[in-house]
Amino acid sequence: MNTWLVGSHQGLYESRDGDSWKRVHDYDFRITSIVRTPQKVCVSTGSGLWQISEQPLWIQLHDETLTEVLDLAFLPGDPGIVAASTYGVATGYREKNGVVRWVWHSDRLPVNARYTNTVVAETANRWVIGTEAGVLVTEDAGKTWQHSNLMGCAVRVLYCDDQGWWAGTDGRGIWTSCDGLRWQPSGVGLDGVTIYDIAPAGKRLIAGTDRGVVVGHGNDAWLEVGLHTFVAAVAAHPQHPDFWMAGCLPGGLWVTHSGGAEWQQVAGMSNVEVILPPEGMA
Amino acid sequence: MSYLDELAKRGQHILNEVVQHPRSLYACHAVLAVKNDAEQVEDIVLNVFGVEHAGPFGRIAAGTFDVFAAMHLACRWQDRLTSKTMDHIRKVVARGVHHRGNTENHWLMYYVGNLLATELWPDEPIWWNGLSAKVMRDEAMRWLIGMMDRTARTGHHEYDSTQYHGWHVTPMIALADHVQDVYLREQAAKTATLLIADMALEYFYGAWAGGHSREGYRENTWHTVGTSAALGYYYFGDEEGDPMHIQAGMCPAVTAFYHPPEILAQIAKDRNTPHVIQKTKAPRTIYRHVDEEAKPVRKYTYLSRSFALGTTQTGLPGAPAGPIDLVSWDLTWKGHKHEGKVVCNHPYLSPGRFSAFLSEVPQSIGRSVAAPKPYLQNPDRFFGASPYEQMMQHHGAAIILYRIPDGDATPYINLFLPKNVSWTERAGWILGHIEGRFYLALHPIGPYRWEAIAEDDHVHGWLLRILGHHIGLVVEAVECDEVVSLQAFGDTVTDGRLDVSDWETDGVVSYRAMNGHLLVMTYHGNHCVDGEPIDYSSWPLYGGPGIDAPLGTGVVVIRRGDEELRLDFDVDENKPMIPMRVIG
Repeated sequence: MNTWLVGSHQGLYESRDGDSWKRVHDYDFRITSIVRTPQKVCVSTGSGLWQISEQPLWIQLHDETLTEVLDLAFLPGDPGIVAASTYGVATGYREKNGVVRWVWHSDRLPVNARYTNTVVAETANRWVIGTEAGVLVTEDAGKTWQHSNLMGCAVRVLYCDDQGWWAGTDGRGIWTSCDGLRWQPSGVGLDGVTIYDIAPAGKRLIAGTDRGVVVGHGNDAWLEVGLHTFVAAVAAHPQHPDFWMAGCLPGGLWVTHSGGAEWQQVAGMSNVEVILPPEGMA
Repeated sequence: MSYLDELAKRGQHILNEVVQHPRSLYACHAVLAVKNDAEQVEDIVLNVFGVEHAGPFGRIAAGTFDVFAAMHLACRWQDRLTSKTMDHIRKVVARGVHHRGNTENHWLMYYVGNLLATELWPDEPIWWNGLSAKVMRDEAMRWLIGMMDRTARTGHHEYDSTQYHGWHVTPMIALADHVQDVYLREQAAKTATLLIADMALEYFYGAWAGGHSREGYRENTWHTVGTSAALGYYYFGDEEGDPMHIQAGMCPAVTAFYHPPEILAQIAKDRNTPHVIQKTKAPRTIYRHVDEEAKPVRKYTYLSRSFALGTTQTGLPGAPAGPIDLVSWDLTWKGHKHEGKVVCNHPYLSPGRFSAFLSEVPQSIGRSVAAPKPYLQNPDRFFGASPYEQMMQHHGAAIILYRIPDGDATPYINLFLPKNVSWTERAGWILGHIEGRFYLALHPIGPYRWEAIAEDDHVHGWLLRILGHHIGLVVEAVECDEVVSLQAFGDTVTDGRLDVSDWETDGVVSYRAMNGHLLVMTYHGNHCVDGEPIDYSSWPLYGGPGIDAPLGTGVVVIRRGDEELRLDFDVDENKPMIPMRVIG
């Protein structure tokens, strides 16, 4: 829980200080998301879903139907995961022999609404998903889906905290909501900007965009703070709100200790899609 | 000479050539079959299979081709391989890191390799993915049986791919020869035969005529392309001396116990009677940027004595869906490389065509996919689907239309014409007398200009660039014995048979073919022959002379004379099919 985890197209990397990195075993998959509890770490990959074990052996959690997984959220139970993928939303159940099989919940949606970039499980039954068609919400674990008012554009990231919901869109900046259903534009300065990731940085939010990293409070101007490139992932240290990391496609991993005033590239890493900061230290 | 003797002769020719310079796991089959040199095979296996990574957690990564090739080798020749070779294969397969990939051929090879491995080494307690042999085997069985079931009911997904067909046929052969489960073994043998029947039905002097799901990589203007060229030569013969016949990758088919029934070779070589082959194939996997599902693919190929013309209803749901390797139509005849094809396409460039079926974000995928494969974005290319292309065909005549919207980066189509033909321009038509055997008429709809194209040995010929947003092509080919002369042919086709007066306003083009049938095509509308709309939804899984294969039934019957090939996949039509989670 006290380490940075970074998912790249060459596998999962780990660091305690942000300077020194090592690959977590040698599974050189494209990592698209990471979720962590004190008990386990799971990663989604281009072709499946894996649980990281202490041994240099990852445990396969996907079956022959689950692939191209883009995001994960924990649910109660075992394996207790809702997976967002290019083919829709699925939850797993474990058979008697221990193998995980998957049930699909969005097959009846139109093509674009099935393609799910991001999922947040607010409760066991209430999930909010960001799809290529916009934001949809289910209150009954995927039996039915309700369209939000943020439709008509791809939503690549959802983030929620005790202040509300935030959505990163394709070309329409960041939007905010109190419930995941009713959305409005957040702040100013992101017209035409595509948002790939949103993360807390102290009392501010940082976002990875197609024109670099931006920072703001959500109700005023978003400020560009460097990296004139495609930033797919951002994260801030929970105890040091100016210590950020940014993952770029294809530009790799960048670190700032000054809230974006100066960025340093981490040598040897490219195509970073996801960053998980240390947890439980704030 | 019996068919089996013919196979043995051609197989020996292939193996003798490959064994001269064996470098791959596939070539090891030739080394063992020809020289029985297990030591040389050991060297090859240890050198090419599994590359150990450095570092404290060093593991071995392998792709789907590697794992499948190694397991096919281990199963076929386990009584001759050295213990060191077998140990190495076991170590890499059981303890390495394996990628499942994303195409249908990837998954097929991955699951076949895994299944054969768990059967060969059932006492391996935990495999590379943390699963037991039984769990891995069950998963592989489910997918493989499901894939075959789906193929038999709705058509092959990665259909008729000259490039990758061999990577469907040889995994099926590996199962047919080696898997322990009797049901799967029989299903795999039937599927292998069905896939080889796919080739036979459109085999034309060594080429595979008509449309293909994947024929890219700058080879679709060749006469013989990809792995299908080697398999076609081995199974059907008929042509000699083409370098494409010798491919190490297809050696496992040559040394296999499985072989298809002779009737397929007879069908492949029988060009006496012109006929039409219809096929239905699975819809393309398009998972974003559109709201509607892709529709089933419908293929129509007319095989005459001297030429074959094939077109496709691709079923694509609209821009930007445009699978990058798809080739929707071509005209094929007996000829050398660069000298036996006519084909055209709109070189659609939108990055959305990548992200419509690949999961990287649209904003970066254009560069990330095309950087290692720049030809995918070549504006001169002749392959790759366009969402703006529509076509119809009746026998030897076809109408191919494009309505390319304003703002498209390439408002033109590229038409490939061989240089060995002396072309004639007359009244808007381009006429050719091909190899003294048939006449060809092409009418570009829209202004055009002649360019030459030469890209190493990939493409060599004329590039006719037809310019504009509302453009197209009318094609008709006729056997020489049906017309007095090229002059007479020209007199006829230029005699007001083509009507494009409503094209610009209503999207309608009509053409009365040489055989008297009237083709009327409305862009985004009906395709009519003699006033009757073509009902593509009624097409069978396979249609043609002697073929009985209704869609959805899993039963394919092919008759020729007194002989009959019956493939009954024993499907349950009420049972849900395995979901499509691959591209192709």
